[in-house]
Amino acid sequence: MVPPGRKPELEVEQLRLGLQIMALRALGDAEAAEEAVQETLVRALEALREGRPRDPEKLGAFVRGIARHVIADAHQARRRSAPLNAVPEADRGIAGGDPLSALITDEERIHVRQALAQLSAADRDILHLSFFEGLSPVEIAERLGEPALRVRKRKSRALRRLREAFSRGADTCHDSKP
Amino acid sequence: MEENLAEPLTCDAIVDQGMIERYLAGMLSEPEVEAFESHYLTCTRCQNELRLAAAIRDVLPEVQEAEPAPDVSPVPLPGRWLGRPARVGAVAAAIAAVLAGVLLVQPWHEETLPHREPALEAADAPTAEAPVGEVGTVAEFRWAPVASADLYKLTIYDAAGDVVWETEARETHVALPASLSFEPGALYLWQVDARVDWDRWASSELVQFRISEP
Repeated sequence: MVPPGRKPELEVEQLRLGLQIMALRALGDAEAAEEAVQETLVRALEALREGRPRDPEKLGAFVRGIARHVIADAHQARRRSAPLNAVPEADRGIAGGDPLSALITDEERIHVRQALAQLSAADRDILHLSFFEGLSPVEIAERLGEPALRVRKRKSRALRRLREAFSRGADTCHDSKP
Repeated sequence: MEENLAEPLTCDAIVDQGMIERYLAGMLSEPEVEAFESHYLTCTRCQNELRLAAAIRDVLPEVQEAEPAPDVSPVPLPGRWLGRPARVGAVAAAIAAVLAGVLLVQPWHEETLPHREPALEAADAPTAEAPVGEVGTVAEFRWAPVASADLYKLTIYDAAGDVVWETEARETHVALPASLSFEPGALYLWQVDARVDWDRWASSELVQFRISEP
């Protein structure tokens, strides 16, 4: 039974982007991810209509649990239909590049590219070490022989510029819609 | 660097801890992944930050490629040396020929797969784009798409012809895992195969690259 004041259909729709991110990262394939998202939303809606979870603060964790099961089922289905000449999973590296790029519009990509090109090479180095090697500002500072505070500030400033450019790309995309 | 996960995550903590970057780089622990995913499923701000991070990861390598090589000296980490016998004879010969300045196209595939159908058209073969020659750093491998291909297989060799790393991909670029690094100054070669039909693969040329010495 749906508690008063809750609107399951709205709550579920607001989960879509987060689920797309999670499914794309886990499955690496846009089509498989979309199927997983749809299945998760259907199951989540059923649960919400039954009044689960009772605590709205737990919605994220609850839906994540559903999504993990759906994604695990999708992985199993793919393994069953994998081609005979596929590289064994143990020997595979990362496949598919960055799957989340499917969520980026061309306009956003263009704006981010322009903003990145306007950063200094040193700032791009910091971003590279952060986004591709997962290094913290302290670790980056050790690698580059710079003070950690300076690295933190440079990264923060670079991200602020990229965030503004990204927003402009999103605005352009919305403006161009009919 | 694990956050105290008994407390609910906040957006500020996520930014301070660099969790978004580490999540996309596959470097969060399982409890951290669980906490972060449970948070961002209902957080618009973090979803947008994730999309921004994805855009940066998508575009940064090509912007860096266009610039003079950056002075970033990676800490040598144990690479993922597969160490199994290479397709030695033909590949070693191909690599030797490349080193001798002779450009080869697909010789070893035709030798090692005798059941292969007649040679594919040049238009079916992928073209390796980056990295090529001497580069400052390598974050990803990239090639031109083949219209009829539904799967690509990337293979990286060392100068001796041993396979260093291989993977499959559906896109035309593959990011390197953080655990793999290349020795500065050493020669490597790579090739990408495109699956253009069931059990038919078209190969790019064998391309060499080298990381600049510091």
